[in-house]
Amino acid sequence: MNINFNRRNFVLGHHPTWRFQIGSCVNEALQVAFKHLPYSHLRKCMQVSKSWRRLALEELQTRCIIHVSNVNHIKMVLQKLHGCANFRIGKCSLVNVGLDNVLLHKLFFKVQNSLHLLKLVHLAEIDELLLFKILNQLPNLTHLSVTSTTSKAEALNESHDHREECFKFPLLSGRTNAVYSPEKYDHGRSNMGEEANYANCNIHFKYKSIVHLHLDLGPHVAFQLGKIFQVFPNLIELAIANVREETRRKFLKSGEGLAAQYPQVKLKRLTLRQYSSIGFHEKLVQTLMRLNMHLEKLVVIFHPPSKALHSTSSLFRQFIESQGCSLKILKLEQVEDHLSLCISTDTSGNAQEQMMLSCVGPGKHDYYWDFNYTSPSISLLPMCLSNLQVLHVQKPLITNLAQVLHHFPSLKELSLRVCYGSNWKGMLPVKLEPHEKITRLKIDFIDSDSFARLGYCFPSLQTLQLSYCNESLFYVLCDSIPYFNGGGNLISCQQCHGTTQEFSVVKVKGRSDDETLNSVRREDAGVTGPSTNAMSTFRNNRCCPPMASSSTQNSNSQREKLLPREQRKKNPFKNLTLLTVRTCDHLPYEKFAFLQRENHSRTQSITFEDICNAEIDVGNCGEYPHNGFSWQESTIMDEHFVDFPVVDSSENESCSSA
Amino acid sequence: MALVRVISSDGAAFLVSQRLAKRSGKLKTEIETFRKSSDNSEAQPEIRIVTIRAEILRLVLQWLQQHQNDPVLPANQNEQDGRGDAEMGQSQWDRDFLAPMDLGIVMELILAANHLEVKGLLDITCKLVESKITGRTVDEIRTAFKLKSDFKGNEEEQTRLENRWCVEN
Repeated sequence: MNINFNRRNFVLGHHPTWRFQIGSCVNEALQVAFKHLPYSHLRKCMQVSKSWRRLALEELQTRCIIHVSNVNHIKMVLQKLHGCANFRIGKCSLVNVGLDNVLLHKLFFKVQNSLHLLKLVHLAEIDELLLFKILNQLPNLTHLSVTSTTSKAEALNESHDHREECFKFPLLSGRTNAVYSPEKYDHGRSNMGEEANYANCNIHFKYKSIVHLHLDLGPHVAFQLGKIFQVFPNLIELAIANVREETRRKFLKSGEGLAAQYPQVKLKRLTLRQYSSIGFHEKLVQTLMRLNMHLEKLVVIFHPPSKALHSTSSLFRQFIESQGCSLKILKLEQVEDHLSLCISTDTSGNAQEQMMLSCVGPGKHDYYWDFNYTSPSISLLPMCLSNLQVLHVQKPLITNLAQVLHHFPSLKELSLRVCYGSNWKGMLPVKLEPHEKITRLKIDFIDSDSFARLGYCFPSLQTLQLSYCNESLFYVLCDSIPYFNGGGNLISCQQCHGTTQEFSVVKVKGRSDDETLNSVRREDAGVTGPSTNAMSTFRNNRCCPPMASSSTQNSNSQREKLLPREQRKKNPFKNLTLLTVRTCDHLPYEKFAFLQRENHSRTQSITFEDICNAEIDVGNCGEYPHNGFSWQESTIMDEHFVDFPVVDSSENESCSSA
Repeated sequence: MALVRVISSDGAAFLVSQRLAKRSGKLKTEIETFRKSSDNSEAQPEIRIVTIRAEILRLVLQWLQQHQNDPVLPANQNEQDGRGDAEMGQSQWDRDFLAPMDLGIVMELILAANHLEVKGLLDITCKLVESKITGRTVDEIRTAFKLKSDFKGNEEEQTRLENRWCVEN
């Protein structure tokens, strides 16, 4: 069967019921089909036949992209437009071309019917009024991207992430660096008349994609959003900053008439002054929920419990849960005099940005939303977040760890913090199901009873940080983690607050747990001399007055009760490679001989004597001075791990003598 | 169950549920317009599609019925790159559905899907056309579509060079 698509009224098809006349419709069908073809296919189609060429060219011409980086290019394009009547341009990229150029306006006049994408890359700030005039010329524009760079090399490099230009809706000039203040607010209100004029100009942009507008909406978010939605009815993505309190009703009303159900709203960073000037209450949480932000990281810092409302707590839980699968990092913390809600929608994986975001400290960076909010009187957890990977939480916000682990199956890092004078007793139930994915754990004030069960709850644990551990916990550590006292290397030791010490012990690479354990046992049995025998020194010191207090003896007896011998032999912390311990003020450090022993090793660790003589430098610990929790992320252990060729000489001696 | 009467260009009537009909953007608009203009809320809407004949309309409705539980794709989805998610969402049923069809019927289906605003069907049919072009030379495309080159002299070469300066995004 021969088919000639160019012939009209041709009968096609072999099925008796599917006979139809095709000639009249094939061009229309091809026209539709060509819209779905990629560029390379269209170029191929142009060479098939004359009719295909015509159809493909029509489609192709609407997709034509021009890159203009100087005036000569504009002349060439204008010549092309003049010479080819059917030629149309769909996309235009302007790199550092003055918007006041007459030729450019002529070009826009020529392409005004076909141009649907405009990208402006400038080395300097763009005159917003000129841009507004140009946009007025382009009624069919659907995508607008405005970026600015600091160098020409960046401008010419398409793959470079350009710095976004700060525009104020609706492209008013002279307000690019406005910072919120009562005076500025009044200024903003006076400008609202101009905004209304713009809105009444019957400008009907068809923006559908990212509009790089940095919006300073002021307190009347709903009103301003309503304006934006009127001008950009097809908007699906909008970058805004500084969203303040709003009522749900107003916001819903402002969203009426949107083509998209809700626009994707990206929240941008605030300046430090903005950060400190925003109020917070429940309505803002409601507004944030409606904004459908899909956050990746969320940090909520609360005041200590006071007159909090139950409803607010559940509202917060709803807000957090509404982020769904996108939320990967959640930090719920409590401080005394600072409260903030830190929000980032950054999904680009920008390392620098992530790092800055992870270092949340009042007044340090400008990524925060600061809300006056007191912590809820009921716990926020559990909540269902299937993709959450990092959870930092304090005790008032959590009641039962088993529930938390059950609802966060993807969790990899867990940080459990408590206020001073409290502990995790009761938080870790006896029957806690193992969570296989957690590899990092930070925990404060854990009691020895809970710690004894910890290894069995987290079998994949690689990094463990214990803060404020007491003497009885130290005994459990020595029993549970062999290399802690026998075969590990001390990699850091520093003084934090007063007499509080922090030291990290890393497992020696290539040495098995059994080997370490045997070494410790040999030492324990008195095979080597007391000067190099860590465990026996430890025990000798423990028995010497005044160290051998009644509390110590009680701890020792408790230790025997807490950890059955069979369980201790199993070594639940077999995957642990780094242990960091922060001791309490009252712990008698001199009892722990391995600290002194490290002085003889070839590691570059700081000895206990060095610490005693060193000046106290609290500032280096990266902590809040008021409650002592650190926002520093754990360092990757492998870096230390690989570069550890040193085996303790005392270990070699003990092995050779054995 | 509320029904709607859809009539093809050649007079064949199809009674379909409104739920099914509303999966087509065009039919949905027509039903809503009918509801607004009609005083009797119980009246059965009757929609005449003058550009689609019965066989093609039957195929469209058949496809809609099969995909009645699929999520409705927005009309502007993936508009920017010009391609839908047909490749990902094309089921075995879709492949079996399109397999016995001639290219002519596929073309008519493209038009019908475009007219009735059935994005899923439009995607898979256009994908079928694309598959006839992908990885083939110009001669092979001509063979697949049973066409002959009507270029004279070096017109074909000129065509190739004409838009060379346009750069793919």
